[in-house]
Amino acid sequence: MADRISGFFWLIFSVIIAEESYRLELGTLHSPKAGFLPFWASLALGVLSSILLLSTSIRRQKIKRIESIEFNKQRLHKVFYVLISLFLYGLLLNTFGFLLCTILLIFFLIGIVETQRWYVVIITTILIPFISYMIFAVWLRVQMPRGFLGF
Amino acid sequence: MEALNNIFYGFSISFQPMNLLFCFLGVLAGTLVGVLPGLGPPAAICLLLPLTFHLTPVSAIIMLSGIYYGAMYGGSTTSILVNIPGETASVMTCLDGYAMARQGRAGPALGISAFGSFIAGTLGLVGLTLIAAPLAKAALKFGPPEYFSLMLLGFSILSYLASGSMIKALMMAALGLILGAIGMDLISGKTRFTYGIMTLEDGIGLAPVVMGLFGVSEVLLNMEISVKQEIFKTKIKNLFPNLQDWKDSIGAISRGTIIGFFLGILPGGGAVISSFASYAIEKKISKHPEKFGKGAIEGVAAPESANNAATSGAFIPMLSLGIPSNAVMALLLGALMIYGLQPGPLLIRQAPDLFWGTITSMYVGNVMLLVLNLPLIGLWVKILKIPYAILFPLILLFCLIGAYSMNNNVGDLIIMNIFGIIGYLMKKFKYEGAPLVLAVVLGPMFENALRQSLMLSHGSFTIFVTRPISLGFMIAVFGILISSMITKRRPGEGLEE
Amino acid sequence: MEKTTGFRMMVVIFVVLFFCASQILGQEKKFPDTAINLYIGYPPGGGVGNAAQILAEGLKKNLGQPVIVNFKPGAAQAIAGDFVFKCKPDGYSLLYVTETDFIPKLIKDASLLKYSMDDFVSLGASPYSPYALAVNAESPWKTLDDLIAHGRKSPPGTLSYGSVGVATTAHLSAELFSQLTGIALNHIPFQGGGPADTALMGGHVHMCFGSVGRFGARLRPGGGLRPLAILDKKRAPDFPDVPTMLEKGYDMQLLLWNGLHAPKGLPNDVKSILVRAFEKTAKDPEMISALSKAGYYHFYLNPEGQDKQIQTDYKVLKNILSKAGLLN
Repeated sequence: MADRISGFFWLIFSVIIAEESYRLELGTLHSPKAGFLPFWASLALGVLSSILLLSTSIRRQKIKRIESIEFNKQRLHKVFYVLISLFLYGLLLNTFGFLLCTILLIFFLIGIVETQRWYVVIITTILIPFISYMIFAVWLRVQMPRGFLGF
Repeated sequence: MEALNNIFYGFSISFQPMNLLFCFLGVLAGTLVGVLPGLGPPAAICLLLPLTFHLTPVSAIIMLSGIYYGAMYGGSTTSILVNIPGETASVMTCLDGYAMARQGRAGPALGISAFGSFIAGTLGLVGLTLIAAPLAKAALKFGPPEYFSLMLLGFSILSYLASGSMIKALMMAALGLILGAIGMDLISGKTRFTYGIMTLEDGIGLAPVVMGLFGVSEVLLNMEISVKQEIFKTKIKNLFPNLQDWKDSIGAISRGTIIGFFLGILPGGGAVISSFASYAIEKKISKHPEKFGKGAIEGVAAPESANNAATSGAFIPMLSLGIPSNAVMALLLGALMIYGLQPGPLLIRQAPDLFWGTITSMYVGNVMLLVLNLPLIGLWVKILKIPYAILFPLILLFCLIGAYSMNNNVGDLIIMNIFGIIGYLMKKFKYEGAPLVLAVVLGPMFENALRQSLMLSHGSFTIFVTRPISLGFMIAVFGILISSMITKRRPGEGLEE
Repeated sequence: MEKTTGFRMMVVIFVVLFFCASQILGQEKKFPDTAINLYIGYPPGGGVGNAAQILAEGLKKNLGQPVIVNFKPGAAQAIAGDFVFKCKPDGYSLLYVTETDFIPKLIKDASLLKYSMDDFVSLGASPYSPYALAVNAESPWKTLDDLIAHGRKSPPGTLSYGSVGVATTAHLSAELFSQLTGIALNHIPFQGGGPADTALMGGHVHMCFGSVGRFGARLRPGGGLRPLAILDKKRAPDFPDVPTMLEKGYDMQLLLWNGLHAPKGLPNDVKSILVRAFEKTAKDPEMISALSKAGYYHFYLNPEGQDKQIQTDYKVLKNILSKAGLLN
């Protein structure tokens, strides 16, 4: 079942890429152009995913193993939270600046995703951003973005 | 024995107190920087470069080189502890190293990694000392056709990397080729798959991809496990590799050293490819290949030795020919030029103190690193005891900072996150990351070499077999293909997990 | 017990925040009063980076504030350009580019970029490195004439040259050479200076155009390469025996030169401080000697001269690009 979904996905993906590569000009075997490699790679991907799809129907008959993707439904939302926070961090980094973004991130992850006792939350929300600021921005002089607050 | 004289001369320079101090500073900085994912030797070198203006060229180069190979030692630490490659060359170490950490064997993994790195680095330096000049000349003989055949060889050993379904591994390799094509095509100047996004014009960087694919995805996966459960076995068994570990690893270390050293010499070759190659070969010749990926210590020893040997090898083209094999070497080259020294065939004559002093101080540096890293093992292992609820935000933060700080570009951060999701889904749907990474690394080089060769030969394919080195590699490729077809497959292998 | 700890925590937080805020807000207004950021469009270790590091040291002395070199590589300096374009024109964010590589990029991808040369203010230009035509030291061509004669005798496309990428000056100089001599050349792009020079030294391609700075000691006897011509008005000080293209009758003058820019809208008083400081740095004998060791020769253009040279290069490079069929 899992392989059916992924096989199908990759098949569609390979078709899209093949089309895009075709637009880039394939050239010939003796003079490959920009689209040559991606085209054949996507073709290979398409063929392989078709084989995968076929094998799922063959297997069903031969081996009676139930294949399911294992998702822990109870905690799946945590995964989403973390993902969203990672993306927001990236998107807001230049606007809010490093320090503010990091404070928000740590607060969110420690305070909300995996709620700890409130004093742990406060300590980590202060310590971690500031210490990492010290290490990276001051000591290693990495150019951390400054947000609208100026730091 | 001129070589011996030179070595003594070199040691007389590197044992000067100032140079010892700078060597130590360099390797220390390198280790720290190597541990931090994303941030690499280039960042540290750039930072310390202005400082070095006030030093003599010898001391400066000693320190800067120390940063480079120090980073190779440090890079494996996070690979083993939290599945995040500190250096892209440490990707392979994640596979078995992290598995070992989860089994409570982080100590032996870190230990064998340190020892392997030391042995390989030192042996690589011996090679550098004795056969630098002829090797450099041989490296020049590698033109586009030779690179193509070599890359083809690299792809053929891809099949050894796969632990699970071969079909899926090949699919990941095909995907890797496509991903590697993102960006501006070198030969035609056209941009492929960038859709106007400037960050993608130079391709998706390897570092954000591996950090996302291995590091971030691992955190996401662990989110599903209740944190009351153990992510890491808290009862850490011995801190150092035991006798059995040593017996298992010694072969891996030797083979990794040789592979790493020679691949490191090739401009464009380097630590990443050698770590993949040594892992694949080690797995192929092992008596129990199914253990790889689940905590086989050879799976740590081989790539770690390979990448350290490769760093020694990478110095050869830089010092003898003035050609940098990678970004760090380019920086060192630049530094040398700022001091008014011209690396190349004339360097040894122009500045023998610099040449030999640097080489001998690299021996010293390797020893320092071993001494530095061993006690740290206890410290690193303690870090694993931090409750995961607090640990994972730290891991994520370091990844985010690391990804951003490479190019001061938020785009890299976003790429890492995207590959975090992809890696998470891949693990759920049982696809492997290693073939993908290998294809992303090899793909662009493979494609460029192919097209450059065909342009040189005006379309003729005979160029690949008329040149001796290229012919040699092609024969090896056929040999591997035939041998894998002959080998009896265990029943049910291939399509199944 | 917990309540007082919590309260104390709050106090600590407020004090820290207040401290930070006061640092930020309580600043005087004399330029420059804090570190200046210099942005480079190539990764560290390249020629521009080296020149920038050297110049930054000198600028620090003349401006009284540290000048930090920041690398924002990618898209042939376009990413760095984009970044500085979006910065406030307050003089704290400056762009230092290799003009001869930046200009073709601006021409070729004008439709894709949000900015053009007019969005930047010139602050001065220094240093430069002339381009040279180099062949393998063991090749049979000892002079430029030998090479051209061979090229004319052989079927078109026999002579191959390496470049560091499409539409780079290395590529464009070869195109111009091909146009002026009438010899069709076989262009083999490489991923950068290192691979291109390796290929040349290994005998895999016949020739290569590159800056004297990039080739460095490889052009000297024993280094593996032989320079056949310099693309400059006068002969290079390090290679007095090598003729210029002009002497040989080919109007090819291509220099790799670097210039300093700031975003448009820079206040005039800030501009003059920066221009003066940069001029002083560029003309400082210590700087000149350090730069020449790194392969860069001295020259200085003030902002007006810089703008004029940009216009000239713009025309020349656009011409080459269109004749080579590379304009988008």
